[in-house]
Amino acid sequence: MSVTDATKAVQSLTSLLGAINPLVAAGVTVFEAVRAIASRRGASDAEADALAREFIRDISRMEMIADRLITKGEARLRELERAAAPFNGPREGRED
Amino acid sequence: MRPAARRVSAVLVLLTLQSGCALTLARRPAHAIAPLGVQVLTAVDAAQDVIIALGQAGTIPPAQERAALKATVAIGYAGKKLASALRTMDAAQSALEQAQASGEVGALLDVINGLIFEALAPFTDTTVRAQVAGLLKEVNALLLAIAGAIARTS
Repeated sequence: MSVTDATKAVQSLTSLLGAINPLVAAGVTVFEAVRAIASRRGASDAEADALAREFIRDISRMEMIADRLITKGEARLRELERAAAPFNGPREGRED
Repeated sequence: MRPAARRVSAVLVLLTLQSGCALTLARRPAHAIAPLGVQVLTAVDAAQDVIIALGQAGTIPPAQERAALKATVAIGYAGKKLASALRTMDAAQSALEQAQASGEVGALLDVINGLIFEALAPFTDTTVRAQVAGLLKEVNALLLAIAGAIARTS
């Protein structure tokens, strides 16, 4: 991370904590503080339904990409193992 | 990256993600984290493709490819757990359940954060490092963008 990136991150974090700190200082947890800020802004039922549908779609996509990472990665690892196998010892049926 | 630094980084990520929804989108925390989770996994997926292509082209030795691939596969498993934890977080009925689910999500983000650095670690060649790191840095850029949006609206 560059100095500029780090500075931006620190500035953003300071701003973020500035919004949360008063609530946290009042004795609520960070999570409750976040929820409180969210509920103040509120969302209509239709918006809430749309967000819920979007959430389900996002979770499904996460699972799909995670499965792909596992399948693709493990398949390539098996390929690498097979490629390395002849160097690990004599092959069966080899004529000396 | 040292474990303590990683832990701090993960906590900051969780704070940013949780607050991002509240301050900018009026979303529930799990709803805000999910699309970002998708983007994180998409970036790692792209990085995995690059690692495999570099391995097939013989640009990186098999040992480096294996070590990096193992980390990306572990991210896949952590991603599945994260999806499950986000479901639990969204469905939590009590403050205690919320706190437990939130803690689990935080721990998984910590794991993913560490694995991202683990995926990059095997590469010693500067050019290769830059190629893979470029993709993995998308994750950080994304988080910085969210933090920037929060800064503008708060």
